[in-house]
Amino acid sequence: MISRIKPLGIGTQVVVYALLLIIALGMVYPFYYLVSTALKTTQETSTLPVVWWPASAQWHNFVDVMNLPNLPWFQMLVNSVFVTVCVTVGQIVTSIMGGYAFARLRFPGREALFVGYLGSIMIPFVVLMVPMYQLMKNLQWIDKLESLIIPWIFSAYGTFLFRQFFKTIPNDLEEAALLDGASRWTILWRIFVPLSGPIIATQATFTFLYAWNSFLWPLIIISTPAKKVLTLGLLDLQGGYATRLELVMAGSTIVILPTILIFLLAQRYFVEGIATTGLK
Amino acid sequence: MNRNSRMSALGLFTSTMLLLAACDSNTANTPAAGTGSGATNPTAAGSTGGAKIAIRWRTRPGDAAEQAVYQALSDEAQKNLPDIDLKYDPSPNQGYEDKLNTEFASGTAPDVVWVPGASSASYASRNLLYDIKPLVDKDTSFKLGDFYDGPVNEVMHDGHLWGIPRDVSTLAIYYNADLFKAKNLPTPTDLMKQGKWDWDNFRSTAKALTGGDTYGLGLADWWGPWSYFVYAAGGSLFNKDKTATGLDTPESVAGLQYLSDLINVDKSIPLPTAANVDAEALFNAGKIGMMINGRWFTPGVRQNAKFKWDVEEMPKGKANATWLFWGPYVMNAKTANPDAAWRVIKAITSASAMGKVADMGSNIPARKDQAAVDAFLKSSPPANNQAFISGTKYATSEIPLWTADFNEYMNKQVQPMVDKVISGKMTAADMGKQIKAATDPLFKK
Amino acid sequence: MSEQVKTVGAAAVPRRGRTREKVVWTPARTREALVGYLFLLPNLLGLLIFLAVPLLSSLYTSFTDANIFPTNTKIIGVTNYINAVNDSTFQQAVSNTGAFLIGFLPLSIIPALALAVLLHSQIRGKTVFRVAFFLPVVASVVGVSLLWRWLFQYDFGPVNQLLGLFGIAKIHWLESSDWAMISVIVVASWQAIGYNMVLFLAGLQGIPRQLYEAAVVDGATEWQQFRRVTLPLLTPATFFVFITSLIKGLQVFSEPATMFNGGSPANSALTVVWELYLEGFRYFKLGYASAMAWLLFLVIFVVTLIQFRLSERWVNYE
Repeated sequence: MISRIKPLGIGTQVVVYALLLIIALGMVYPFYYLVSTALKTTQETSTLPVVWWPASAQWHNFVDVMNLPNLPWFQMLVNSVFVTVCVTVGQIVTSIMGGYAFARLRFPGREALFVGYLGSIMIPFVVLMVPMYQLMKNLQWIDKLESLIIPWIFSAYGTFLFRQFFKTIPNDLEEAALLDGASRWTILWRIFVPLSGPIIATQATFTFLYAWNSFLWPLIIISTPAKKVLTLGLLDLQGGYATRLELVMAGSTIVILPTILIFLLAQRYFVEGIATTGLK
Repeated sequence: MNRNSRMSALGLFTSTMLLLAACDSNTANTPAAGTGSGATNPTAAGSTGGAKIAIRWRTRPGDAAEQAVYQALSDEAQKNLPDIDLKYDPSPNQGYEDKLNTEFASGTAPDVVWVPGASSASYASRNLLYDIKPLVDKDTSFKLGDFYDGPVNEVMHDGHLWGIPRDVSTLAIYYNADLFKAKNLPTPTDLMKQGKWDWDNFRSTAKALTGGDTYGLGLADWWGPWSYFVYAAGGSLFNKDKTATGLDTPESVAGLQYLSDLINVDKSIPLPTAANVDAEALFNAGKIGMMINGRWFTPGVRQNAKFKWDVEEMPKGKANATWLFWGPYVMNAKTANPDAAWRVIKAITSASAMGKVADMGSNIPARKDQAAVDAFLKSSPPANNQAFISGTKYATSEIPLWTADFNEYMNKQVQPMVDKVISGKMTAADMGKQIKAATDPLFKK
Repeated sequence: MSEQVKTVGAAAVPRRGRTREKVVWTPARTREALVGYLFLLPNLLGLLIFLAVPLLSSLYTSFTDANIFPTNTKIIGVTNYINAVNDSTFQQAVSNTGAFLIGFLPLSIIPALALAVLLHSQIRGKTVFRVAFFLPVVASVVGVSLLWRWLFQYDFGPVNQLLGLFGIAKIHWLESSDWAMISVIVVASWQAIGYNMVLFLAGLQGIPRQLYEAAVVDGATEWQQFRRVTLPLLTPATFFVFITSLIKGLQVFSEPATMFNGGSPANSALTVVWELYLEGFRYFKLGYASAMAWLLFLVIFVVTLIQFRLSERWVNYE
């Protein structure tokens, strides 16, 4: 409704800002409630009216959550970071290689394979869940972190994105390098990758979010507390300490905070990346 | 260049695999708490000579204190079983059965494991458990008669014995004595002493306690609490030979309607949520007068309640009723050495072992001998521990279902319909008309 | 080799015919093909093992009576499919999922479009707003579902308290079968709006400025500019947002399963994926769960296909 050319009139500006502010508050308030509740005492969590900010912030709630029996929270944090980093790095590397092959190298069967890749993007995970479980069983990866990492470092979608992006890089650079005797390997990592900053940032952020927040698959595969990831720990926390809302919220804060920080750091690339890759 | 590119591609491939290997080896090095190394491995246990027999066993401790008690129990048993390498492998409450299912599916379940009573049939009927009847029969030092009859009768099926009961808990009424005092009402214990602890007074008390942001009664949203009302009205979850639902009888319907009226007419009960913890939190916060719960609720109330509280038996409806929840230790069918596993079960269900567990207060020993009962009675608050024991006289034992899958029957068909009754969307009578058709296909013919 | 692909979608599929061109297998060309395979190998191998094999095996399992414990399974034909279609719980899950889509699609797309247009105008503090709207996207679904459970809490939750300020009576968001699915829709939409908004913003940036200038010269009002320029040129983005939301929505699981830990009131928030999870991993019926999964895949496939067909009528790829 608002033209992008004409500067807005004062009246319109006030309305627009008021609207944006109200919506922004609605979007952000849950996070405020999360953090403020994480700092309350048990009594303050269940009184009416809602306690806006605790009388004195109970920072020890965060320490308490880390020290709960049967809930190796710190170990889970380590597992989550480890799994997420492995999946993100692995997926980016295999996608870059596959994307380059599809974009720049000619080999028989390339088109057919590519169509297969495109088709596979549409398959919902639930179709695969059961046989994947059986496969993990045969590989003896049940209740092991391998099953949270290795199947997830191959991405048809990532390969597709990098292919699209590499296609837009001019040929001359590559041809010159080939004439200079550079190998494909060198070309990929010295020329293509440095040019792919925003799309790597976008894809890495999305993969990171996806791996960090994944829930259904770990729920099925992992049961030993020492091998759980944070999302599962959060469920345990909810199940076992539900009457201690402040602890549940402190745990949730620990799970949610890292992704928010990463997004805040990468948000500029992120939007750019989506603009250059996802859509025209 | 030619060699170069091929080598580089190979190099990249290798480095990818190395990355995987890195991820791999790291996980391999993390302590494998759950997967007992060789515990179920026949070669390890079958080997003769000086090698010890590895036995891994598991319970579901609710907190660190309980876990410590079981660890001590395991250490104690270890001393008396020098040829066995005993390992206690606890697993938390949340997802306990999910984990166990997964382990059974992949062949890594512990040798001896505690399971909820209702689930024992589900495992036994899938050939996952070892029939310990022959072991018990030839062991003259063990008397099955020392245990509560109800659970023993349930875990015995078709001449097979699928486990030894570890603990029991009846449902009881927890009440906030301060709230009763504030409203100048006789407590459930007072009413009990006067012989007036029946459904009429239960209902009027709940209603009198309700007001402002306070509720008279609370119950968690799972089948245990609501089905008390069914049994107290003379109904049942199943028909006599457990080949069909029993919720279609007039008695069952009347019980559920009484509950529905408490919620929807009197508004004495906050709607139970699937988030089944709200009522417990509200009780601990002093906003619920009475709460239907098992012994496992006691440690949490001790810790969080800032008011005077006690427990009483469930009120008498048409009949006295409560649940006798129980859980047996069962033996993995794939255990390498059943004799050794049996000796472990015996050690951890001995009178002295159960006494130690009872001291802790979160469950009642499955042995009915006086020593075990005395140990339990000493663990207070609550003052009126006897209420839990008295209930065992008329309690219905938690039912392992051999004719259908209990979870499927309860969670897929029954609970959704009961939800409608509880929230007043459906009358209990209408539920009674529909429930048989909905559940019949689940029962084996 | 230098075909420049600009849009995702139709143009992304390589043109046929290129493969037909006669290849002279010079050593250099052979090398290139070899390197190509090697580069693709890790990826391809992984997808074969972890995607193609499970896909085929799930199709097979769906025709058997497999359970998750090691037992003899036998082939039972299409029984699982017939049973699923006649299973009243599955039917309820299907209609619940439909109800979810009816609420979720408009609630997650229309506000996202409006916000994108507002943020695309000449106002200050865009970045701050953009970050604020996007925050829910990055938060863990499990975390926010638990969080919203308490926001929706009947007695002392902030949502009911806020409604109280406007004189609205407390609502049983989680306990009532009338409201349970609405709560799920609110949470899922709250999480999806920011993501869709960024996609719309990207689309808006691609609309040439001259078109608006021309429209202003023609005397178009702001509303007309929106209707005649913005909306039509935004159709590729809208299509993308719509189709991804649809596919995501058909698979909704984490939100309801976490908000209603032990089961939703009268199964009012039971979705298809949740139901098949219960069948496979709680009631151990792997074959039955696989059949449900394939039915869902079929629906997703058909719906996507229809959308692509319909899109030719309304999506404007210049």
